[in-house]
Amino acid sequence: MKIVIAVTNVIDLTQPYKIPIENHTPHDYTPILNPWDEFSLEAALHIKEKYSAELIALSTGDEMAESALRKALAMGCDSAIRVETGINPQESGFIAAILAAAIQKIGAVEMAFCGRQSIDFENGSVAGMLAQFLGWPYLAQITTIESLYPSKIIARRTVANQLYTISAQFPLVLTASKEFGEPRFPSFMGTRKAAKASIEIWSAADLGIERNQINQVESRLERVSAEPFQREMITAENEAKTAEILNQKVNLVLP
Amino acid sequence: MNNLPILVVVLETDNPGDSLPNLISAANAFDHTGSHVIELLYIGSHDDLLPQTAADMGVSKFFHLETSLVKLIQKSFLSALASFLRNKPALAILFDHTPLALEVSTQIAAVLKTQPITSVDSISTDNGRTTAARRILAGNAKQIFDIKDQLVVMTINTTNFSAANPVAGDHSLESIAVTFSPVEEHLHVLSSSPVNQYVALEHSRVIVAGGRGLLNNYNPAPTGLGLSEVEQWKFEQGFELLKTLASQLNGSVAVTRSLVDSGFAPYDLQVGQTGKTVAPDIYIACGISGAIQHTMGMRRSKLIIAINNDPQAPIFEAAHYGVVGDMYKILPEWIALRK
Ligand SMILES: Cc1cc2nc3c(=O)[nH]c(=O)nc-3n(C[C@H](O)[C@H](O)[C@H](O)COP(=O)(O)OP(=O)(O)OC[C@H]3O[C@@H](n4cnc5c(N)ncnc54)[C@H](O)[C@@H]3O)c2cc1C
Ligand SMILES: Nc1ncnc2c1ncn2[C@@H]1O[C@H](COP(=O)(O)O)[C@@H](O)[C@H]1O
Repeated sequence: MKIVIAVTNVIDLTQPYKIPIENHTPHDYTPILNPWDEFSLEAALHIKEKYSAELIALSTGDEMAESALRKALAMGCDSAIRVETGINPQESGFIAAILAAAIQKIGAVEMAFCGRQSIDFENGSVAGMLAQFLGWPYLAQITTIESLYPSKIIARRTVANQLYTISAQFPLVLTASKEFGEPRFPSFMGTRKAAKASIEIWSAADLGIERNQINQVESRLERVSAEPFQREMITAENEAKTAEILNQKVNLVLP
Repeated sequence: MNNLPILVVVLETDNPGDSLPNLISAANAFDHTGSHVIELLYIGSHDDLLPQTAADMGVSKFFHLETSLVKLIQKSFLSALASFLRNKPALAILFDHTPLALEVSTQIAAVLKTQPITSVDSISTDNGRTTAARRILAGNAKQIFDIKDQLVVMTINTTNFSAANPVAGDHSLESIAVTFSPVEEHLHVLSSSPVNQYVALEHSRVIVAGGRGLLNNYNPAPTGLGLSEVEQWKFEQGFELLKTLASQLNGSVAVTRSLVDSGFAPYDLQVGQTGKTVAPDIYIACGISGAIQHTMGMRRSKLIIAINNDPQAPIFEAAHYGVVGDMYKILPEWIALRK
């Protein structure tokens, strides 16, 4: 069974970074593997351990993207492919088209995992577009895998407070929720092996992907300065008084 | 801008009875002159009330793609929706920003070859120019889109739009059934069951949230419990306090990731970067340190109260009102006041 996991770097928002109003360079932020990709990696590794599978990490971007791929290798992926595009693709439609072409080139892929969304730009668009470009069904936010057969997967997901058990035919696109457990920390050996592993490099042009197949809507970024914020520490002689003050504050807002 | 209709698409799982007025107000924001008509496409089983609500809000056409809940989850309607939309002139297609609608919108955007704009917080029109904005980078930046004549597909953060007012006058509405023939199904729902009794966090007006501080409970645990049972007991005592206050305030409970990762609380209740993003009227954070990954998910709440026994806790930077103190002493007093 072949499983592709699409991975990408995102801005670590807990570290200092520059808001990319103009063109940003990776030096202005600390890149980390998208936490949602860690969840899908964990789900894929879970499948590999329980049922055996070949895991291929896939990313499109410049050399910076390789740190995401190396982390995926260190966690337990078997190989990694980077698709070079010249410029760093930002548009979900372009990224999804590249991923779709790469997945078709890999061939005989049963499952393609994406992260739910990038934690920095929060688009949440690549997975659905990828599914559509491949013509595959899309099963989002699976929480557990009940069983796996040569031609289908039975997994669970929730929608609007209902838990559904769903059987899905291969091939398909998936995203994983967090319930597969804390994403594993790469072992020392895993990290060493990953550092030495060779990453296959393809080019978007070779895959026949050009830009502008998807209409872009022009956009710009604006910094949002923290709104002036009234902060007040409440001190009172005892807990009962404190509770009373809090209760009053809340009553002012309650419908 | 052209004068094509704005099409609002709602799924039965979006809880459209509640969210439709907000979606209509997002559609109204495309222009103030009323030159765009607003149309509605509803995907789901029969709904008696929705057409009337739509008519009251000034919607001119009501399209209904009738499907069972199970088929909705299986997205069996997708190709029918795609061919409907391919032939439907529109300036914009608006979905609710709920998980299933987000999936459908991105799939539809791929079909229509346009970049989806997800999680839109505001739409405004100035001098005939319409822009749509969304927050990114943990709320530190805004991405602003120029809406021109090309079709756009969006998902709308309905909590950021106030409900549209009913329009006066003629309330006639043209109802049109969208039929579709069965397709080969790739997803099959085998079974379903309700998840839990908690209110969906995204819809709560009041949230009482707890963190690892719940485990620092000075009350003596019953004797004879093992170490992990004592922790579980402590958690449950604290969780009970959160639930009691939440129900007194007609709200629900939430937790931090550390309580989810250590197995005390279900992931459904996690707020933050890798959990839910919420923006209730009142958010009460108890025993929560205020890590950025948590505050990212709740910082847009209208009133934030933090109770933490460490005066240095970063949560106080994010709170309108802060109390340095023990949640196990303050919450019982508060609950007693509201009895
Ligand atoms: C990639 C990534 C994603 C993450 N996503 C999320 C996310 O989505 N949501 C999330 O919440 N976290 C997330 N985290 C984790 C986050 O970084 C913090 O570790 C977590 O939020 C801390 O939880 P906490 O505040 O409950 O615990 P702690 O940081 O341990 O804080 C407990 C607080 O309780 C106070 N306290 C103790 N006893 C009492 C008492 N009796 N009364 C009052 N106060 C008391 C303490 O002073 C302390 O401030 C993520 C981390 C990473 C790396
Ligand atoms: N450059 C990329 N290379 C590979 N996968 C990507 C890339 N960008 C986004 N993805 C995938 O798409 C997911 C969601 O991204 P987004 O739609 O941008 O929020 C990510 O978690 C990845 O799985």
